[in-house]
Amino acid sequence: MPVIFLEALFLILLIAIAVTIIFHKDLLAVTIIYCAFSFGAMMLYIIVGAADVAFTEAVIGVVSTVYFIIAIKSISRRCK
Amino acid sequence: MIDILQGFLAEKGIYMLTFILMGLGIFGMICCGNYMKKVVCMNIMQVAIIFFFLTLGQKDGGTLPVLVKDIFEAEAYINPLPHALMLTAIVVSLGTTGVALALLMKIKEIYGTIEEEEITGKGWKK
Amino acid sequence: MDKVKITGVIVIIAGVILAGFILGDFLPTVGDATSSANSYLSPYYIEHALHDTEAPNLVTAVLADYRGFDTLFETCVMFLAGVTALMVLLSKRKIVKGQRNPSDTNGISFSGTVLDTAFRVLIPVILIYAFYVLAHGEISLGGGFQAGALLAIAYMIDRLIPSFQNRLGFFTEETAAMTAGVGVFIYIFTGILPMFNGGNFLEYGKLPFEFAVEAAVMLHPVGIFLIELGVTVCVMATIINILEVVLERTKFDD
Repeated sequence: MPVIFLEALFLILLIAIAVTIIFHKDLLAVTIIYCAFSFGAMMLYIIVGAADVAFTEAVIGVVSTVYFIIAIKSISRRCK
Repeated sequence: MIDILQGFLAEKGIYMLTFILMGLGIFGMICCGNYMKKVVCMNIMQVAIIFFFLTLGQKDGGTLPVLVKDIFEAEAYINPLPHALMLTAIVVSLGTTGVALALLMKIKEIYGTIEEEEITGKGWKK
Repeated sequence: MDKVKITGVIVIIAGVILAGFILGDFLPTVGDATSSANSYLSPYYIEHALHDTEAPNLVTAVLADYRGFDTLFETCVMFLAGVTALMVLLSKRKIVKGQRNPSDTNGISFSGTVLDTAFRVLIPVILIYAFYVLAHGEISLGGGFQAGALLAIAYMIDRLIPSFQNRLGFFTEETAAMTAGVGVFIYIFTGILPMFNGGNFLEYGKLPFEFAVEAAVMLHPVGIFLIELGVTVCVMATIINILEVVLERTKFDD
């Protein structure tokens, strides 16, 4: 299967996750879905061939998600 | 059929999907009322921009940008220059997220809420 | 559902597809080896990187040797982000400075034998892997940013699990900010050293370590390693800085 089809598939997955993030109302669920978004972005970078960038994105995605979860503890979890 | 689809994706399709993702990120930053969601949508927009730069460096038939023994032609490796620039961009986006979260906690302390409509009194008419 | 958001999403998707069909001819084809992004400077970098810098990893050679000045300012930006987060949340301290009492470390209450044992195995492995990634940044994938973030993750695991009693915990907010400054200083000092020897700023060929290497071109890996060390220290300290600043204001009460 050519590489371009895999790229398009992962991009459609990322667009679906982005639409879910805009519409959802629970902030903890948004954080967990953001972790999945970071993982999908890392797979996309591997498919394109950028291995250093994928490694960095994997590590920094974890750190960003931990920051969001810590911030949610002092901010209310509901969103209007 | 597969050739037509592949040609269309290579010319314009990938760029259209990338710009849809960036447009969704910017739209989320403008229209979501909660400040935490604005920070998450900023990160979505940054992923789209980084991916756009990385597609400019692709080459058909090239391999990872790590030198293999005794092969020095420039057609055998993909372009390493966008990768180096995007490494910097990812790390700076982490710093921006950290400062945004510090500001968020200060806003929560002063105003008691992080919904934009309650702080500024203006919002989208539903 | 929110009508504004639904109309916005549909307008964006339709608008980008329409604009792509009308205007989309000026962007190069994906995968083209003769597009202008792949033509002018990058063939020079690919063909001459091993001869100039002795680093088989092309991305590290471009990032730390050919474009080392950009990486210097990116490190400065990370340091400034840590200092800004410290200054925004700078106010009344509830914890007495210098005293870290593990029994009231914000009272995180999840613990258990499984977590303890798992992280006892995990933290040394992450630390060893971080130093491997730092040292092998020139030969295979890796570099300074990844190593610094891995070290910070090992510290984070130890900090957030309460029954470990914070064995690696010698960072407060100000100490982390000072360590980030030390990282930037290492980078700038590696740049100033060749100037004492007759070279320009960040010219690795004139570092004063001629007695330790056998050829002048082998000074480039020494310079790259010192730079990556500076970047690692700065990135690790900034991540720990933001973590400590945010954790001080958080109450875990579940």
